[in-house]
Amino acid sequence: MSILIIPLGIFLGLIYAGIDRKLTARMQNRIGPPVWQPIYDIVKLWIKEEVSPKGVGPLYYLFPILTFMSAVLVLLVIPFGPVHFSGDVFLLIYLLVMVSTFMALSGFATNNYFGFIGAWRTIVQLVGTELPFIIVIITLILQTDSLSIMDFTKAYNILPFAFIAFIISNQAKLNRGPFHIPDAETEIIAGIETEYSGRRLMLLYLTHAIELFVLVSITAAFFLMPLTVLDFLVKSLVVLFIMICMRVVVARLRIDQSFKFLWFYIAPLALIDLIRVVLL
Amino acid sequence: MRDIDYTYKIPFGPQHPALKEIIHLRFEVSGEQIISVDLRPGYMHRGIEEALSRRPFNKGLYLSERICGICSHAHAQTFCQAVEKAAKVEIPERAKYIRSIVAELERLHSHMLLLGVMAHEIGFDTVFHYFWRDREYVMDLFEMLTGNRVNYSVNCLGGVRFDITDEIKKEIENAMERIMERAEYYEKSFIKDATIKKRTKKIGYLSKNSAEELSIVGPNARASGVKYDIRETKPYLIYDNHKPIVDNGCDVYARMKVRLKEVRQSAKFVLDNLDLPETRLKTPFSLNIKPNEAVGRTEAPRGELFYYVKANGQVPERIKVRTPTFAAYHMFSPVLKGQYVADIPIIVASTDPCIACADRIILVENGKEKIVTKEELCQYSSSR
Repeated sequence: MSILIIPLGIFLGLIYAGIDRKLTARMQNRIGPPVWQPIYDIVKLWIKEEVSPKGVGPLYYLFPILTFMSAVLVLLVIPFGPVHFSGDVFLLIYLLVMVSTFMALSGFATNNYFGFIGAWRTIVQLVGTELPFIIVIITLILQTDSLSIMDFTKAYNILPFAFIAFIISNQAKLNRGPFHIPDAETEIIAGIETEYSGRRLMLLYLTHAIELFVLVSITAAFFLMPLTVLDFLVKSLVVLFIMICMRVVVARLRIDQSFKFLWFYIAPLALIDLIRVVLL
Repeated sequence: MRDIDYTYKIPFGPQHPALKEIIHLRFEVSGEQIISVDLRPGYMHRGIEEALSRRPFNKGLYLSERICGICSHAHAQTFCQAVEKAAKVEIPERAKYIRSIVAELERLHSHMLLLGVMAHEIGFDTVFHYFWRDREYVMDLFEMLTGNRVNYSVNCLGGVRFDITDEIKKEIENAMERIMERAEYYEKSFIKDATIKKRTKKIGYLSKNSAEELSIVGPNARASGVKYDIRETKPYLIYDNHKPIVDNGCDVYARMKVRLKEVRQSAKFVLDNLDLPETRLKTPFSLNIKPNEAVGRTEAPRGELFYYVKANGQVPERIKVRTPTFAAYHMFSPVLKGQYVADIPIIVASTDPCIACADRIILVENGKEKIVTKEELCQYSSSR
């Protein structure tokens, strides 16, 4: 039964992406697409022609599939409803890093300078976000005295600084908000996705949607203590709303500025809660 | 950013999501740092100067308006100024007021367009949409006055074609008051925003000496401390005591600030000058002009616009246009060298390029000017 998380996670991820686009549009004084728009996008990309650039090897065809596969694997690890994964949280960290790494490798595999720039920016940003992310996970491990994800959701975690640091580092992992550097449309056309079209682009699009769903869900599950499934969905929407507001009010940082911001401002913020948990 | 031994040559344009018009810049890049810039304009060349010297002046007026969409009234105004000076015709007072009001409204909407585009380049889409929403107040005014949102042919040789009636005057007052409120709001929030300051301060530096040497005009020069504004040095129409806004920042942030303050200044100018004198709208103008040459200079939203007209009868012998973006071409190289690739769009956008205005061809051979025919142009471009 827990295999049902895969279509449910994909569907909810697309709906979250649709809500994101609709709310962003409303805040920017325009109407915006309907909430089902990402589903229409997926269907449309399925039937489009795939154009491959000159000079690419078999890796160009392989990496989008690997990216999507690792995103689907993350879906099996999150604490949601029918899934009861009682393994370690390290698997979650590992799989999330794997998603970003395969994305970056897809960018490198296209024979294109813009994909190359998008890919190395993704890697720099990945290194940047991992530090606050891991500090927050260590805080949760020490707080709940266990490594299992299900215990995180059942414990009573009042960690405000860790919550803020976690949300901001999730924004950076998703390439949203002030950190939308790797797919900066005005600078490098489309970054990693420049040379992908048709079904390969659909796989990358689905990966973004699944990552959005996963990170919003684990934020809600770890810090907001949901009790039932409906409560969990409502709290995920609250987290999504905070992330949307954060994205609407800021400009884009440069890659070196974002790295410094994540390592020297957000990581110390997460350290405050770590030290508090260690001392108490 | 580490120094890498080899360099890439990356193209920026002709098609690029950051560019609103077609220009080709070729960057030589090492890592993320720009080493040199190669500018290749010419994609928007339409043979306008040749076309202008084949049409009588009244038809040429409508062609000169369509050189650019954003600064179209500035082109029409300068053309009329030059031709009316060559014909020694004086336009009535009411026409002067109406032309100045339309020129300032155009400056408003052009600056707001550029500020929105600059916000979009830094990734701040919210402010982009807000600026363009406020720009709609001005576009509605144009539609009410002339029927068009761009290429509003307000001018005719000898005066203007439309009149500002009392209800239009009331609408202008309302719109200008709203724009002044919004400009205050932007000065408080947009200019002081921390992410904007991080992305635009100390980027795209152009020192005052370089600006004077390279003869940069307009808000680009005024943001580098050079106090040069045609409305002050050679007043035309009804600008009699205009105070240009100068900032000493010399970077992208200063250029943004100058344009935002000019938005407020233009709105205030329109509000102060809405009492139009009661005269007629045009003076009779005969198209047969005795042999004469004249120069028209005005302050377009991007800087000094310069028209040289050599008249002899109904059809001009030569019309030469020098647009402010042509002067800004000289600025691309010093302002982009040594900067990061991530800052290219914001720096290029801050110089306010209006490429449609700026594509002219001059072939200088042995010091003498030559006009190029279409066959020669095809041969020249295919042999490169």
